[in-house]
Amino acid sequence: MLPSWVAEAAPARSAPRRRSAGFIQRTLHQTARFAEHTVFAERVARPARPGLLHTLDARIKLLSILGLIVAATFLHHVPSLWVLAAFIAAAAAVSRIPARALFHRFWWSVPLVFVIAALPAALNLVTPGDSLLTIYRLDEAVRLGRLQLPPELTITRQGLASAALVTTRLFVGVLFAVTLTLTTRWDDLLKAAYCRASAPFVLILTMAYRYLFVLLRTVEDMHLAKRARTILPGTPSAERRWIGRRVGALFSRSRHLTERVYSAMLARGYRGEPKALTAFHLEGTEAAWVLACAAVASLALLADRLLLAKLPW
Amino acid sequence: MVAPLLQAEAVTYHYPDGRAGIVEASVSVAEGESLVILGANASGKTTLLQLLAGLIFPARGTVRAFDIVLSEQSLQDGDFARTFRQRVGFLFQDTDAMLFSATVYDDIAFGPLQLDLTPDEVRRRVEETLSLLGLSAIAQQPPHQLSGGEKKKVALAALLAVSPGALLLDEPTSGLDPRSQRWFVELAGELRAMGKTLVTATHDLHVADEIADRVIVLGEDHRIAAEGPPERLLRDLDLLLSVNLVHQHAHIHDGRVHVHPHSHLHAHDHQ
Ligand SMILES: Nc1ncnc2c1ncn2[C@@H]1O[C@H](COP(=O)(O)OP(=O)(O)OP(=O)(O)O)[C@@H](O)[C@H]1O
Ligand SMILES: [Mg+2]
Repeated sequence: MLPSWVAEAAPARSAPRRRSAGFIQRTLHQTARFAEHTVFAERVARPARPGLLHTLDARIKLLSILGLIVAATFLHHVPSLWVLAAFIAAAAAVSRIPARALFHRFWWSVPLVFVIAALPAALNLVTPGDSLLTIYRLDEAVRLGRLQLPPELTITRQGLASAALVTTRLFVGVLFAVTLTLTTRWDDLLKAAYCRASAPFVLILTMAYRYLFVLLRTVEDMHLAKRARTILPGTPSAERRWIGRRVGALFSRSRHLTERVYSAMLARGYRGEPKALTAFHLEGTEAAWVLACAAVASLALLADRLLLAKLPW
Repeated sequence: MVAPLLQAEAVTYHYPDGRAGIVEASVSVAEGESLVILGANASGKTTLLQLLAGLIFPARGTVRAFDIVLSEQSLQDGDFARTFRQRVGFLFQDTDAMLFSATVYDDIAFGPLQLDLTPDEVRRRVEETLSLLGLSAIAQQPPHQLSGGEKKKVALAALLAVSPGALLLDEPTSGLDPRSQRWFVELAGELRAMGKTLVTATHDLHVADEIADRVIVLGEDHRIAAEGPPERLLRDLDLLLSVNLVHQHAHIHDGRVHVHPHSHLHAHDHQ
């Protein structure tokens, strides 16, 4: 027998007040959006009409782009880094990758890195040199508690140059990495990165990617299930407490899920070695691409050493 | 005498938290037969199937496949693992665990790729499987955006693409609508006709009745309560009641146990 309260109808209620979607809900929504973007990246990586970068052999692409990133770390001048950036942007344009897809993932990180990580290096305390902008200058020593303030704080030209260099280098590096992932299917990338030495690492990456979707789905489902059972929207602090408890549950669920995903892979014959449908191929395009990369990298290095060294920066 | 394809001898399995999954169960699966494992929720069907699939290993007892003991060690051996995985396929009850690729196409290709077929052969297999199961339209969709029933079909497709001789199916019809259930029963019939071995875990008496050569009934104590031909076991109301597979209001007509939700809201009669 069902208890009698099951039969009691809920009293009719007046129309609910509109509440703006809570922080929690927005966050979950964004998380799901992120998953969509990952899927979207898979779509860009496999367009109906593949461009130059899409058709290149994955191993060649991985190695050449790693090579370019290494070359970038040897460049000491912003303009020569731009040579590399222009090269990859041109290759992306030829491959019909929408610029939006290329930049919208990370453009915001560049000013962030500049301000948080690079700008402090522009201070005379870190990089002494010709002062460009004086923040303060003290005529007598000032102490803040135990702290002795430096008599002078300025932004130096040399410091600013090195901050710009660090930021540009990062920008170029990320640009390369994004181009690589946007034009290479995840399976192919893992297969390209696979060798005896990298095997455990590649295995972890495979697993992480495989169950990311399911995990996100679980979080969303949990929240939906809770909302379906909740009559009044919770206060933000109650929502936060709920999330806190869910995180614990999620950890244990995700562990079970990894185990299950892994046994499902085993059951279908997975033996720790990634396989992808696209076969490796080395043809004229690959050779031309490698030559182009080598030429651009040498050009940038040469320009960096010979020409730009004479410029004031 | 031919050795059975799969054989479990008095296997007991406890989950890490100490709960019993299955207790002292002995099962043998002959080549080409269709065995149905019946049991109420939590009776241990999944556990037993996973033991037979070499995904978990018993604390006591042994599981053999083609007369070789399944253990973590024997499955370390690349050759044996490969033959075994190719010959014995497993359909997970939780399809989300099985579908982990970016698209339906990739998910179906995953198994054949592990067999080291040439890319062209893999593509051919995937495309044939897609059209066999009527999934071609959703081939490029990410599996996590599918409905529960579609996921089941894709998971089944992923399994069939490997073309195993023995298929271990964990709740293949749960979440399918009546038409798709029918479709599954017919598919099972075709697979049988091709000589495939089927081991199906279910709590659906109708499905069991249609596809089983032999039935194993698991009790709620995680032990095997009965084993025999479907004609006998599926009519044994006392047995089915004792393992909580049917309720008081089940009854037999047309010579079969008939279960329907017992409610006084809508009347029906039996001719
Ligand atoms: N991962 C696990 N950890 C702990 N206990 C588990 C786990 N999986 C299953 N069990 C327990 O083992 C017993 C058998 O579970 P099993 O999943 O084999 O049942 P089942 O017959 O497949 O049930 P269902 O019809 O609900 O799928 C249950 O009591 C269950 O609670
Ligand atoms: Mg189960």
